[in-house]
Amino acid sequence: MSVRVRDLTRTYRKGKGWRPKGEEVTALAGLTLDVPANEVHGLLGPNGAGKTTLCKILSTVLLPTSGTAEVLGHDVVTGAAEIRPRIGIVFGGERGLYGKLTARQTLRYWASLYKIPDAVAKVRTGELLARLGLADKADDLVETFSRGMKQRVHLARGLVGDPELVLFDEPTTGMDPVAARDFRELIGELRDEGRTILITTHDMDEAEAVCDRVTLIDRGRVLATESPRGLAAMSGPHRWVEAETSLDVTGIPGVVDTETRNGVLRVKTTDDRAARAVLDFLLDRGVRSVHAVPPRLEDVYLDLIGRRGMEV
Amino acid sequence: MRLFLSGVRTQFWLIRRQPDELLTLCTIPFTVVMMLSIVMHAARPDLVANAFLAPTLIGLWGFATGLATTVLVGDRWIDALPLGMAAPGSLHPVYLGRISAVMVLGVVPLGETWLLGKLLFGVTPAVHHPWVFWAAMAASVFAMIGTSLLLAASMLLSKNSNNYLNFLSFPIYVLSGVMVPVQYLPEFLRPLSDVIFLSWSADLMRDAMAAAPVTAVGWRLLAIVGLGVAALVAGRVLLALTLRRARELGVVTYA
Repeated sequence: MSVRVRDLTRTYRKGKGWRPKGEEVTALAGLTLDVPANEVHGLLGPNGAGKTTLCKILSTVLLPTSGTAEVLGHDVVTGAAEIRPRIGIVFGGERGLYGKLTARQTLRYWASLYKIPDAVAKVRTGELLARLGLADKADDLVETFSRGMKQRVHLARGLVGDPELVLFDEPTTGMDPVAARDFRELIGELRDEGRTILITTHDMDEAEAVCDRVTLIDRGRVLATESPRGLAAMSGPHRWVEAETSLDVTGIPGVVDTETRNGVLRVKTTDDRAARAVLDFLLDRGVRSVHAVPPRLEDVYLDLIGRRGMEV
Repeated sequence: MRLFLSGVRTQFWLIRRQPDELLTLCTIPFTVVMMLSIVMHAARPDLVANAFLAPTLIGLWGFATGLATTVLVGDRWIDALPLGMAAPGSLHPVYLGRISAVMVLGVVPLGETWLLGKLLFGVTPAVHHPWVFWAAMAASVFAMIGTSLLLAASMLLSKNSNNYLNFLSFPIYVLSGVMVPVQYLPEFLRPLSDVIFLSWSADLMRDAMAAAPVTAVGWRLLAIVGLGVAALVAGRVLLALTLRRARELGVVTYA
């Protein structure tokens, strides 16, 4: 097991001073999670759900309030020194990068912090830059890079220690679609190399595309852990219909919710019978592009967490 | 040692690409002109040494507060600090290396001051005891590294560290006797001066430039180095406590 978390709790105190004594805020409330070796595991949840707090604890930069967390067989509190050389952390966006260093210098700096001998670091830096398509830009300043390229520097930085477990915190933030596709391919390659991947994300499509299993977290608790397909099955008797139309179907009995994206109407219904009624209604009015569709991970996410979306 | 050297190397890489970080060097000419103009206008050749020492030590202090002290705060700002905390290597030697790289540059104002004095005013101060002078300079750079680590760790606790850094300029120049010898300060301020290593540095360097024999060189050097070591140890302890507190509370700042 790469990650084993049991009844993990983390609370913060608001206020100022060396030991703040203000109101207590709970970020993790008895969270339990297992991530087997060589799995790509997604952590999904709205802002404030506890995803980043969990990542911080697993990466040993934050201590839990209670409960236990083991990474690669070592406790995050007592075995942090054993864990650190074996994990890599990748932030999304521009966080954590020195704009005035080149990509190569960035990797050399972090390689030294991972105690990699200079000769090895030199070779590994070159390999990682080539692998992530940055060989031609290796000696350019990071601040001159596009967001996608900066993200690749982050990825290279996270891999410089040749980690067994890689923690990705919102990795595709600010990535364009091409860079996001490349990122997904890279995740596949990392899994093929035997690494375990833990990704926190808001992006349902990303989770669906790359994760073997996903865990939905809300208010510091696990709502469900399943494969994306298995999780979709948790949507109960609900059925969905999609059609290219602007017709109003909200009056049909059994229609729970409607949403239009890019000219496509998506209708959530209570059951098979209601979905049939929607299909008949649309076909009778000449709509030709209409079909029943399986639930998306996003649908289950919204079912379980509600429509709080990105709210805290 | 490898982590220390990596810190030195990385800081040189960073400084090379950020010439604006060397702003202190641009302020030196103003101080040189001001100090030497006063001395020359007053026809006080006996104060030429003071006029040269002030920009030199102000430059050294300026590098410490303007650049070395902000290394940790800068890393907190760009979120590199938590990444460093998660790395297996210790952060202390890395940051000490980065601060040391800055403070080595703190010697540049010495040459700049000498050059400007010669070019603008045609004067060069005599240094009658060069070995004492250079030993005091070296000890001062070392003490400045320790002091910078302590200041850098302290600044990490504040969200508005720049406000504190602004305070650490003119009052320190006065208290340390950089501009006016400490003996001219009120009696009650002198104990404060004694714990600022710059006051020992300024006195010893001033004496090293004078013709009279320098007394108690060893003890005075020891005082500079001792205050530097004390600051270094305090800085290391404070940084360790701050990082441990960050792991416990999830925040770095104190307020």
